[in-house]
Amino acid sequence: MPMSTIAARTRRGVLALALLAATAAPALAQGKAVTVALTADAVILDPHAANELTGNIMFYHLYDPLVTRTADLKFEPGLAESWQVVDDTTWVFRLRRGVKFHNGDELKASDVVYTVERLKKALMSSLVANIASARAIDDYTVELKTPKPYAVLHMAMAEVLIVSEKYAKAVGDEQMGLKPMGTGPYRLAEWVKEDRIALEAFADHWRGKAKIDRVVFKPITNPATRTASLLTGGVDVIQDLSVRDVASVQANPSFQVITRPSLLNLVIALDTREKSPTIDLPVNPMRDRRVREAITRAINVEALQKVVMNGFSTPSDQYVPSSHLGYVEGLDFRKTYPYDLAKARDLMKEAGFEKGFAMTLDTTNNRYVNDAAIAQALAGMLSRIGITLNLNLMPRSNFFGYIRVPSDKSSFIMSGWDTPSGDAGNMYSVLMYSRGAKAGYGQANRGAYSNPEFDAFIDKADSTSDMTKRDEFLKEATKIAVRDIPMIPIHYEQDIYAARKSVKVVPRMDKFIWAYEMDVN
Amino acid sequence: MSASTLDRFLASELVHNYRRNLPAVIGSLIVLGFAFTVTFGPGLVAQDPYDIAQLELMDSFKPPAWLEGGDPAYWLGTDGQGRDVLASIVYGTRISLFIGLTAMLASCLLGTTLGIVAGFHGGWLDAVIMRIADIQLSFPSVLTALFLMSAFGTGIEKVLIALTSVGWVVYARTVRGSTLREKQREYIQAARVSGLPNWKIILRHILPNVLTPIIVVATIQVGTFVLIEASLSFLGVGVPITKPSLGLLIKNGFDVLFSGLWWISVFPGLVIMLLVFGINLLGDFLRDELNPRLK
Amino acid sequence: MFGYVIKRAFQMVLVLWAVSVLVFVMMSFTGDPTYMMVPLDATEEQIAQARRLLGLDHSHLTQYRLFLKNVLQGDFGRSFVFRQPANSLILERLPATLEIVFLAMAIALVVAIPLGVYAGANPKRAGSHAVMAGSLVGISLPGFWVGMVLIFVFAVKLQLFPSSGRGPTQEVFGIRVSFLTWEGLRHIILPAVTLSIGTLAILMRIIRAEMMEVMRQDFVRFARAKGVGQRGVLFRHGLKNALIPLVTVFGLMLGDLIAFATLTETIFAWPGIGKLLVDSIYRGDRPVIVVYLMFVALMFVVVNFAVDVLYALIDPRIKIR
Repeated sequence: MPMSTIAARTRRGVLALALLAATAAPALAQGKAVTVALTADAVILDPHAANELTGNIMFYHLYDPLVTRTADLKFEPGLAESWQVVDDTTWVFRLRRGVKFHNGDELKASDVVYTVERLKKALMSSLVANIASARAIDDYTVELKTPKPYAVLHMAMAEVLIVSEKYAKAVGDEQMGLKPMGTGPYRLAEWVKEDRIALEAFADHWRGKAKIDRVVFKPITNPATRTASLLTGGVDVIQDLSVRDVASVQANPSFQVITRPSLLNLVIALDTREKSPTIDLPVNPMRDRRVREAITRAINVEALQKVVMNGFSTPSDQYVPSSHLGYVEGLDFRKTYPYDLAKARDLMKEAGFEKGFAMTLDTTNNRYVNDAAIAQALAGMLSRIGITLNLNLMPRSNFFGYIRVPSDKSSFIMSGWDTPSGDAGNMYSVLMYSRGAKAGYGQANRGAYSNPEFDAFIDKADSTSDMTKRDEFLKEATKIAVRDIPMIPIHYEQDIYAARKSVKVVPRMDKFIWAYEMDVN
Repeated sequence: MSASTLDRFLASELVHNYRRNLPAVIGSLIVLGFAFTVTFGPGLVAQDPYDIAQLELMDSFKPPAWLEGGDPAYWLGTDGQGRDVLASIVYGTRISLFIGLTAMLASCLLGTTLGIVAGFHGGWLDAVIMRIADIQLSFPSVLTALFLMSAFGTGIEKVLIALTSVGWVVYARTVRGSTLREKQREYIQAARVSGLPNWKIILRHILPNVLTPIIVVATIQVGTFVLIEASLSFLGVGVPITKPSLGLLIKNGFDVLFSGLWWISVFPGLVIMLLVFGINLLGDFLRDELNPRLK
Repeated sequence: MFGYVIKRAFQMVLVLWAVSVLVFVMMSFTGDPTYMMVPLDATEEQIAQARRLLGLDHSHLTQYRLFLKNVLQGDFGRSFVFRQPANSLILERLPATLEIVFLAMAIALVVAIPLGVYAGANPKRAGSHAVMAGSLVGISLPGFWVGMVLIFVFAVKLQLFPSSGRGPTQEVFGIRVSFLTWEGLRHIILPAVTLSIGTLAILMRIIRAEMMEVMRQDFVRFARAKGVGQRGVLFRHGLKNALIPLVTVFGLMLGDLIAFATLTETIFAWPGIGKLLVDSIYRGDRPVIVVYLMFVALMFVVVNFAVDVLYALIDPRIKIR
């Protein structure tokens, strides 16, 4: 590292410390600072009003959940030091004592109750869909009731960030989005839109003060510019290193490249209805399982990984990663249906579609990594078994409304799905459970897949409060889904970060860069 | 055209001036070159970049043939899908020019009709048409087209609609002005009195008189439309990704430009410049000749 | 004069109204932005709730009525994405855009005036032909492509300028500007040059044409006959008169610059209103798009009005009616 940068960084540290001195007792005589380049600016800092990556990264610095999710998707006590299941639908969470908000107020059970109630009325109400009611038993005990037995409520609580009742009521919703105030390890120092978000360590954080005193997030949209900023010393850590720059950054001894498979599984939903909107045939060929298998076998996921993704993707073996409940050890979609054009053509012939057919693939052109390129590659691959794949690529502003169930415009949809809750049940009940059979189930079942056997296992999993049993039921469901192919899993995207060697960065499965886990030597 | 009219045309002042005007000759050579490329080009390049089955993913991101790592099969290199850049440019130029020309014709037709109606009919119809034109003129056309496309979504026919809705105004204004002027002339008053139907008056007396300014405007507009279409496609709201125009080719190259893969975006940009430059050279000449007042 | 102002004001309201109607009609074609905000597994009730929060639960007509009612009270609606008043989002980013727009205009004027005057005064010289050819190339270039090439050459290869973003800002009279520091200037140069190219080329052609026109006029011949030197003729008599028509194209030029700033800002990640517009289009953020367009329309009407008044002041032969 050049001398001038060290000097500059120390100066920055001193400055940060000087700022801190006003509010907190002067700690050790060192101030560590880190600058992180993100792909975008946050749009709103109210954790109950948005769900996008940059915002989420900020939320977990500023606020805490009752249950903390570790980098490896393990669940640990957070603001709640313990919890227990009282009966099938009642949970009790015991709060840590002496937890301070940034303004010095103490966290009380009433704040948790208020958070649940505020969320119910907010944009992100789905986060508390599994909570029927919340009640403060005393200042440090909260009772949560679920509408039905729900074995993984504690995992769901990892996404519910606790706000201060007093503060939220005093400032109102608009200010909550601009001036966040929580119990998190960092507090907001400054937010200059589209330029930087500066956070400073909160000295009274219940876990202990963070090692990094000041962290600045800068939005740099262009991947090449991000790389350049890292190499020229403007920033210390970058999110989403461009695949093309990996080799050059790796070659430089002062920097490190950190990769981690993400949770985002790119999946294709196949329409299984009698008649499909974009297929001009009296009967939808994809009703036939053989056609679905032929399509699966015609897709060369390895070539996608190698060429389109430059090696930075992990072909999906199932619908959820191995860390999740419901993952079946030893079952691999890619081994069950390996890339095999001859077999695929045979299957098409057997099903009576030797001549193929035409349909339309609906997907985005700016949502997933290389989505448009993947779509074009898919069209090329399917053309080899006689399927003409027309591409309908949309910006995501149109996409999610367009493919909305009952998907009356779509036959073949590629989209991503991630389940940070660590549980396949959420994905299965939303994406594969029969449509319209039960409220809150099958609401994004775009291919209208319906198998009573599958539904039965989901029902069983959702009516037990025993996690081991839930896991067993979900595994059975996984086996059925892999057999029936309602959807083709393609790959998990890979998260790539780059940083100075001197910065310790812990990549997280949920992509949420967290300065609390970082350090600088 | 009979031999004598041809002779007369060749001996005319226009042709005489054209021969002496080097820029005009260069401009027409460029435009002719493009006409040739878009007509016969697809037969001359080895690959059909729209036929996804022909693309070889393994051949992606090859540099131009004369650089290290280049492949003689791909003179100007390939893009991320293994598309030959030269073939993409040939096909892209077809789309760009098709859009430019079609949108110009549509604008011309619509604008001229509305201009004549406004000028000839007058009254409230005139007021309504011209108010709409005024409002439209208070916005730069790129902005209007961008907004329309953001609502429509991508598609060639949608680009045509967007361009036509910003392009008609200039014809309508020009034609309305000429129509009003012609309408005052005595011979037209006489024709009306003698009961000649309106459409005949328009066809015989008014259209021929507004033809020259229309030709000038139309020529230059093709170039403008090519540029606007490129801008829209660059922003991702123009033509669909499977049928890239020159602008979309540039956009595709933009994402990888910083990694040193310059050929994907630089060549299509040069081609746009050359095309619009040729059109503008011709347009300048026509304007000077047909509209001596502007000389 | 008074009647003229009334007429203009009426026209302005008409334009703004037309813009708002158009935006509402057009945006009803696009997808429902709610789906972008809610998680993919949202149930019908959750979606309905989100729609209610965003004010999208009414029919388009009712939404429009509510919008008009609020506008009359000075409330232009809230961004779906930022959940902030849309007009404050625009105002927040306006200085960045004005900064490059005015710098681009300054560059265009500084380069175009001398070259245009030269080409207009000596139309036969080889240099003039070069100027004309250059200006025609300038008109034929896609501006965004020029920006890319500039970034590639000056930022990636030569590393003279940063490739994107805005430099550090200082507050001057409550407005954040970035051109006061060297670092800020380094950031602004490439985008401003990119933006100026088209305007520069057009300006050069206009000035040349006006110069040629003026040079033929009697008063220039008289000045020459009186023995006024070449430079005096050119700048005191020629340019002064050639610039008058330039005032009228000022409004058009400003409009073009603001329109093309959307592209320039997107390429250079310049945090102005143009990038905000493009981002909002991608996000389906209707309130921001409406306010942006209304704002731009308002700006043009005001500028054109100012231009008309100014023109009347400069050239007494013209009466404002």
